[in-house]
Amino acid sequence: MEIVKAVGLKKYYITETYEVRALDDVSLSIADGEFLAVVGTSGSGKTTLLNMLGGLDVPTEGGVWIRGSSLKDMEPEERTIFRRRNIGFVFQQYNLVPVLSVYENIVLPLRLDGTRIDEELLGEVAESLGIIEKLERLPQTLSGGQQQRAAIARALMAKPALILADEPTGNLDSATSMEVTGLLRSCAERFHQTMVVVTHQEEVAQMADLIVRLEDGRICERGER
Amino acid sequence: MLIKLSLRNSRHQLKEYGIYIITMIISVCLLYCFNSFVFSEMFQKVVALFSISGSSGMKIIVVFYSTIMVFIIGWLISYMLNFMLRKRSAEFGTYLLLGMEKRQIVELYILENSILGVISLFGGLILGIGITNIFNFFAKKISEGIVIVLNGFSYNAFFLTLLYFVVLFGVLTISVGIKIRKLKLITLINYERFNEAPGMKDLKKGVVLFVLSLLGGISSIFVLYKQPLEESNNNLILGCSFVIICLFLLYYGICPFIFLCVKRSKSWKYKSGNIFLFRNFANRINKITIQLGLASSALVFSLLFLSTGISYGNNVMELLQLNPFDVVILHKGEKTSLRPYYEYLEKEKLIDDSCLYNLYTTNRTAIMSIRNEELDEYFKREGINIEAKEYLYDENKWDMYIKYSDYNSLRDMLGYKPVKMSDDEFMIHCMPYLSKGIQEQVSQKKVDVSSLKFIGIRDEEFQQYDGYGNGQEVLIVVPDEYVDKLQLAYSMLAADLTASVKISDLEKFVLKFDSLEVMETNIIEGTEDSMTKLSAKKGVDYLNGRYVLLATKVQIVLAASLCFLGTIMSMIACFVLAIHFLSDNLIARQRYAVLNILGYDKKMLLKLFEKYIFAYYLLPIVPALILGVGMAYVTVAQVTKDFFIIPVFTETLGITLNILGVSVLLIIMSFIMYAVITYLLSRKEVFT
Repeated sequence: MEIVKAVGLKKYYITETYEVRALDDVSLSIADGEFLAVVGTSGSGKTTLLNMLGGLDVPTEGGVWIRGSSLKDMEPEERTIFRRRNIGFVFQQYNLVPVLSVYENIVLPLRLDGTRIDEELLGEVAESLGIIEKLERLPQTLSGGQQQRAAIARALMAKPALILADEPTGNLDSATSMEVTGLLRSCAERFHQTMVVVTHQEEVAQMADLIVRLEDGRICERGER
Repeated sequence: MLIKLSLRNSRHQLKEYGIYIITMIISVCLLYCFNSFVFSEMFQKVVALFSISGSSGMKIIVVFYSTIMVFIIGWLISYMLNFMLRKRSAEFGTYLLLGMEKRQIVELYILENSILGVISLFGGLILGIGITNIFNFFAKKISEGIVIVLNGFSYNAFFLTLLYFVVLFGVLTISVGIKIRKLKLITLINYERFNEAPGMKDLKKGVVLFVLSLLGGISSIFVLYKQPLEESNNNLILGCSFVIICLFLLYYGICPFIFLCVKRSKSWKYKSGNIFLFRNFANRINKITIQLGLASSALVFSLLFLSTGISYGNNVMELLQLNPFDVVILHKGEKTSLRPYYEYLEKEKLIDDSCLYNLYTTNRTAIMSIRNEELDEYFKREGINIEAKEYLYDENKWDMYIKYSDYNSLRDMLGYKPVKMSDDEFMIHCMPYLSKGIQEQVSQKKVDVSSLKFIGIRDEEFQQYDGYGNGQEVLIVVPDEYVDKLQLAYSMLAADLTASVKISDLEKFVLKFDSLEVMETNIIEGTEDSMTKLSAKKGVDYLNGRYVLLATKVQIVLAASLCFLGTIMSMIACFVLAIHFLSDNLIARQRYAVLNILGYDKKMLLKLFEKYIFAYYLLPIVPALILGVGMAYVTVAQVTKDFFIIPVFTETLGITLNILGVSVLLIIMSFIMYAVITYLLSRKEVFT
């Protein structure tokens, strides 16, 4: 089943003196449960693509559909709620709320949505990610890898249709990077998540089912693992 | 959940952004102190004093600085709120990402800031009240319990400060909230990532502004020195305006000027990281030109107010020295007994020592004519457009005499050595400026004072200033029998009080006697021959002396007011500079990290950092001192000249330079203290 569909995505930044084509007619489709890696050099448009897929930014042309709903046609508040329920995010900087414990960070999206917290699922996710004993700790007391795992747990808890990870291993050393990517992969399989990971690290990309290579805002290569 | 999150975020911010919270607390404190000062009885007297003389200068200055204070505090709050927004933008982006609505985020933000605002407001008010009380304590101590500078707690100041802060903080918080609402999610997440724009201005324009600023500075000194306008207050306002123009243009112009120097240099800029230092420095000052202008002009006015205040204080101290007796009661023109006053003071155990005596006069003006000649010469020399006889009370126009025995009793009270004089001799006691002239003329017998032999002059302080004491600047001491031939001029009681006497004791003393009033030398009347005399009521005795001076002289109030205002100005300047420097720590840290990667070791980086902070603090203070010293010199000299019509100080240049030196030292010391604290705090954050 197709979870994500992007058609003719374009994102141009136009000023008086120059025009930057961050994305230039990108189309792709991601099926349910797939693990997609988006690779490319710096400035190739990877993050811009991720932002489009997550509804964080609006394309100049083209559209994105998630589970058949067009992000472009939604009002900002509608998009916020849709994102809360259907998309999970993992960032390079972890973006954990510093004053909340790991547990509170993980359940924050659910609390915002007023959804009941599935403690069993939380336990399972935390166990899988190896942070079960860190739940009462504050983020700044954890290592980078542990913080990123907490961020992944937060993304997983809402059981979203799609998880978008922008350079999730960018701030981690190579050993931890592989470990975290492995966890992302295993969680995607275990919880039947569709995952899109943006990375410039080839070894991370090699763990994906599908790889899409961007260059100058265009897909120049597509491949399966 | 949002409330819990707000409370936790507020607590977190108190720790993370402590310096900014402290800044807000101190801002509120400064605002309260300033308002307390403006609403004080003391300051209202000062404004009234200026208004009576037809000048609205003081009101203008107060309104100007109230506006500046509000502007600065508003700017500080705005800066802090925007800084925190920048720091927390990713966090707000995360909330948005996780599904919090923008409305909820704005509510969260407003709630958190309200908590911080309340802490800052009440912390600042409590600190402000504490500081005003401490200031009063010292003022009372210095003035022996007489001067109360500020109200310990002022309702007006409290509510005005509350109003200012609530309005400023409220408006600015809401405006940042609106900003958050307008920001896109993607912008919030990447808010801190945006590169700083270098923002170098047009070079030619900058050089022109720099030259104009120099002209402004020179114009200010010219106006203050030459006083081209008739009214001295107008000259002061014009001079101050030129100073402000000069300083603001200077900081607009100096950045491109530095940039041009660096650009044109062929080799110097590549030595020891100079290029990084000066480009960094020029870029920094380019962004804070207004703040530098404000800080620098605040320092100028701080120096001006402080030195003028010290000058008034110095003059008051001198005035007190010229009036060495604590209390003097006089009755003019007829014989009367002042013994009931003595008995009351004795009974109430208020006096240490006292003397009941008389002053006598004749129709001769042998000595007074010398006095008038000397004074006329002085006025001519100083360009003062009055004649000596205009500064002479009618009652004192004749030579004044005192009995030898009374004279020695008074000397004994003051701790002076007794004078030996035989029955055929006389001597003169006068103010120092008359000694030489009188000595010459009397000893050379150019004037015929009496049939007695002249044995010399004494010129210690003897209550001879301002007419209603022991003669108007000069007194002839004669053997006791000599006065039988003379007419009575005044009946006098001079007393030294015990250390525990307060103004309230004297107030009770005055109320006890219907015939006793406090002497007001401002209340005078004219005579037929165009002289002035004390507007004395029949049968009334007048209370004078140093206690009366302290209680009635508004210059004391002026001195305290100006010193307080000067202190606040200085604090504002130092604070603005410190906060700007410290807010740049993160960027500085990143830049030095880059230099480190490029090959600069920590020692070299520290040296660069020290040069940078030295230049940063030198830039506002040097022009401020140059202009401030110029302005203050002119003002202090004028204050000293205007305070005493007659030449009280034998040499004024030294006094003026002393006062300037003390003021400059005080400002530099507090400035250095702030600079050192800023350096230590910044170094810790940048290099760890």
